Amino acid sequence: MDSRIYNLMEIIRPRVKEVGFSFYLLKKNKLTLAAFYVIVALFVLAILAPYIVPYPSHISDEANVANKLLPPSGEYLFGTDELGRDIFSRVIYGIRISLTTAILAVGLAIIIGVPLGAIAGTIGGWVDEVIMRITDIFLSFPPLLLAIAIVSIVGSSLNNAIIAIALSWWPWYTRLVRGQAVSLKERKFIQAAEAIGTSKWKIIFSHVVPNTISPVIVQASMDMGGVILTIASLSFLGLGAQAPTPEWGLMINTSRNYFLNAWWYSIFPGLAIFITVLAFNLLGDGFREIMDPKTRKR
Amino acid sequence: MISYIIRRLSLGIIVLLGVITITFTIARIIPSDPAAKWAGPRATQEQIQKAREHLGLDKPLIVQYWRYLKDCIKGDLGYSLRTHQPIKEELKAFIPATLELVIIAFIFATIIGIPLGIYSAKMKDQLLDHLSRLFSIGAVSLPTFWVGLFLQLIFYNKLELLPLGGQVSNEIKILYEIPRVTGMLLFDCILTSNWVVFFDALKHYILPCITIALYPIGLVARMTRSALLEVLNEDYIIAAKSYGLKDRKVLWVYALKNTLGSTAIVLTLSLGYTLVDTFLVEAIFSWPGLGNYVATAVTTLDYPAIIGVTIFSTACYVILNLVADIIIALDPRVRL
Amino acid sequence: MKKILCLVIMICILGAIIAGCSGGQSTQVTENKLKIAYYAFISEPYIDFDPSVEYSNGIIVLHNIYETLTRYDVNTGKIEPLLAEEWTSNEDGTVWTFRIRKDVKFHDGAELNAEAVKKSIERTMDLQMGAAYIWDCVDEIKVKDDYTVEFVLSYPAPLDLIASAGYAAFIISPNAVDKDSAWFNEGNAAGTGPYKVQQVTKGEEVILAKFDDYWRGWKDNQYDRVIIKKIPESSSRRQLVEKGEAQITSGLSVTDIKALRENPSVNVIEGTSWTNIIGFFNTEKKPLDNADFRRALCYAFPYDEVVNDIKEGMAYKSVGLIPRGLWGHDDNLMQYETDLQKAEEYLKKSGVNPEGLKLELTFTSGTEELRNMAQLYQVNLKKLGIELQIQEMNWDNVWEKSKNSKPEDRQDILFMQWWPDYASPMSWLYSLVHSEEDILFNLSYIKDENLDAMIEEADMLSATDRAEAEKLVIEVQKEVLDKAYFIHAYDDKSVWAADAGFKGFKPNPAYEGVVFFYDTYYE
Repeated sequence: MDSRIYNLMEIIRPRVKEVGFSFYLLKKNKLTLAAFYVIVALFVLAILAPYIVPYPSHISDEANVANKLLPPSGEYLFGTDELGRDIFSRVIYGIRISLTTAILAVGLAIIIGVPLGAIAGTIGGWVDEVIMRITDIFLSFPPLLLAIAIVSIVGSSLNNAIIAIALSWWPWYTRLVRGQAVSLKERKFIQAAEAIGTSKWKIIFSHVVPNTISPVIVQASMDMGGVILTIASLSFLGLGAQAPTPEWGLMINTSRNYFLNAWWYSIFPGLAIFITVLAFNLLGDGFREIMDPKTRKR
Repeated sequence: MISYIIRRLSLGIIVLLGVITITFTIARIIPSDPAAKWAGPRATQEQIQKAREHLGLDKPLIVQYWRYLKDCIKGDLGYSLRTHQPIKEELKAFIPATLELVIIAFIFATIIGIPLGIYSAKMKDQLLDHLSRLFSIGAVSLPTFWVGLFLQLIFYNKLELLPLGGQVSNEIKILYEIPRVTGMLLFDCILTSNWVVFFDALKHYILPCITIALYPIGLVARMTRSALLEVLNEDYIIAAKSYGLKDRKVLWVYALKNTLGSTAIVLTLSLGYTLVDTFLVEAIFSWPGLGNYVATAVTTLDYPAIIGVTIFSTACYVILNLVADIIIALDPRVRL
Repeated sequence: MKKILCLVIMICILGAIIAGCSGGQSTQVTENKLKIAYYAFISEPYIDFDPSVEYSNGIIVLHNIYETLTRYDVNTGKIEPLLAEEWTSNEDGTVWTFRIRKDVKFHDGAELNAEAVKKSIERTMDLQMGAAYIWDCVDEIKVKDDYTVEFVLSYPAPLDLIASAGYAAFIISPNAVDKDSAWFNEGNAAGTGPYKVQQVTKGEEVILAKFDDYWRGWKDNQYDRVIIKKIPESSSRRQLVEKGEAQITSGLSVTDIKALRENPSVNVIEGTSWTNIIGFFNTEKKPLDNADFRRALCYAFPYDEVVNDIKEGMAYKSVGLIPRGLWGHDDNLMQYETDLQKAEEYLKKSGVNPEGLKLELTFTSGTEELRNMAQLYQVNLKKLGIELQIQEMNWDNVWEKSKNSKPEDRQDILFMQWWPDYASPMSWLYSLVHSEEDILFNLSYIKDENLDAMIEEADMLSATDRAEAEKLVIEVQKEVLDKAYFIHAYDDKSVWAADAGFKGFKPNPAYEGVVFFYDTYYE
């Protein structure tokens, strides 16, 4: 009982301190802060998308071929696509698709990667060796290539793309958590738990894993940009979302056919990818700087 | 030191074996029958059976795995289901064009990325630093396939300045003999001093190279900046400065020398990204490279070809990383 | 200050390089005296360079290098002589005698004779790859004399038509006929055609050069060189033709075609195609085993929108299974129209409850028109309360799913193109309607003995009594339409964009995608 309370303190304290300090530094870096606000705005847009877009029925319920490929105007802010649907509505709705798929992919990677890393770091020995060699193998595939191979062979769909991305992304979390777990082993509360004979599994899942949550979340926010870009790339290759899903990569892929007649069709989804990925990468970069003690010094 | 290198090498071999095992697994979960694809549409049952025997698919899985492993080690990547040609030969034909693109992109990355990183570090937290940071992070946030399309729209369609795609113009191709030594066109032109073809080809290289180079440029600039900031905090730099050495000299000579190693490593590590970027961009520029080959393989589900490219690129990536690691081990100055 | 100067100098150098390049090029163009025809093709020019094996794009190259005994003429709808001067058959169509043209030379100098014809076709039959099955009816090939060859068939078949096939009917030089596929795939070829191979780059392009000894002779304004090059992007192909770099291209998106119609320096050429787009219902799965339900789905399909808005008039509404321009096509057959009210009625009649009903639609990915068509169909079905799930896949995955041993694990609706190997409607009936032991292309899974008998009889009659055969073909289609086994989406048109100076080209549906460059000339 005692040790549990102690653990709780250990868990909460450093996190609060860290997050608070980080936010203070975040405020200092204007570019990072701007990126943070953009991301908040993107999430708000994603949640409200079905209620705020001018033509919600243009997502999948309606097509109006007579209005196809109209240039941007007051009525259709970003113009219309090959089936006469409002590109603005679809691009805004696309935020929802991109953010949810990216969160799912990263989440799945975390679900696979974190326990493995915790096990490797806590148990050590040959278990550690085997798990880490497997992560080495997965990390040695050039990024995206493993996902391309998997999805093209299993069949293209957004779900398969999410699974394939998670399969090529989990080793990063394993490595991160393993490092954390190794250093946690030296901490008093873990040693205390071991001394009173708590089982290894219990230590892993009730002590080690909860303690790695904050770095994992920071890492996940840094990864979002890359994952969104990967999903868009897969969809661009025809290996991701299926029509009529308003996924940005798929929209650019489709727009290639109308490229010379309808520049607006490819420019807006492309800009949407760029802004979203840029915001996440700026935030990630800011985080990296904040957390890297070497650059923090100056 | 030697024991470290041996350990690192043996790890590299384990990794490669693991890569082969994973690709074998992926290739076996394929939902369609490769033999039926080999035999072509409207094939009879006997034809398919014949194809199955020819491809060794009638053997037990473990035998297939053993054979696959042996073949891979020998460099034999099997046959394309679509063209029935050995994949090794097809890769040989397509690799040089991609390799050349990647090499040029890396040259760009060095000559643009490093100075950008240096200025950024020198003027930390000033406007130039912010702009350069925005540029370098922007460069890695852009969907390359989209950039390629837009460069074409601007430079081919609107300005009519640069060609749309391909490596050489058709007239040139017919009037002049295209040199083929290494398969890397610009390089071959220099080797044979074929300047007419060289200048024509150069025009064709500009857009794809810019598109591909954006990513490594951004990465190198970032890396140089942060490595430099780190070095600038080191005692000997501070000491050098306090001795009254000029800022510029400290920056360019002492500090930079110590960051080049980590920059080189970032470059090798970014090879994976750059290679995959060429896969997305080559189809747009009708570039006769690996990416175009993969794109066709993906649309026709030519899985041995997809797997072949995967193994090849991964092996390159692993070997380069290995080399980078050993360099780090040998040069005590270089620390990431 | 110094830095800015450096930058300026750098920019100047870069500009000079670009300018230098363009300068270099323009001087080269004036030196160019050879006339070149450049065909920007959507995909690889060939897959297998072996003329006995190739069953894909490669015919666009091979038909300029090799020739066949006969050729289908699109203007007359008749079989015209090519390497065979004339031919006869016995009354029941089981023995065919061809007289071979004299004084025809292969590229390697060999003479064309009866022996060369026999060996070429036997090679194709022995290899049993690609479309070799078209010769299945042939029992024996006899050389009667130097220039006469006789085919003995095991059952009646229109051999003059088969000899004109787009695939697997090429005549190869006696010096090359014993070589294996690997030899051909090194870029070797030896035919009698007007062009010989100059250079091949696998997967990318083929350059052909005029064969001076070609038996039909040459005129001044014909092309000396032919380039067939892969340009996958529609917009790239369009730009190449617009700028006069490419002489001809096809497979452009409808918007690109629309823009090109306004351009006086580009000719848009339309021709018939024997390709049609068909939707297959999974009749072995509930609720699609119900004919009334299938009729409801047929009435919900957006026929006119597809033809007018998606294809922009570059297609015809299908009437029956057999496309326009082939015998067996009948304009008076019953047609389904887009009529949601009727669809609603049939839905009621079928007793199927549409609530919560999900249907899976599969088709090969990468086809823009099919994707748009599927999305419009999805919108219409939604109005009936049916949810359509669109699944684009690789052809192999589409096909594998359709061949699943459990009917309930297969797709509900599948869209596919169909075109014949030679000018005959039997390909549709045999492959798509006739029952199959192992599923191949009968993807509505039709099993009807009555239809089978009619198809078999029509096939036998096609060699001897065309009129009678045609009646049966129409009867089969009536039954198929009544049972609503298929959605007859549209008959494709063959649409090309050519440079205004590129003349003499006429698309021939029997040889899809082929430009017979010998027939073309410049102005």
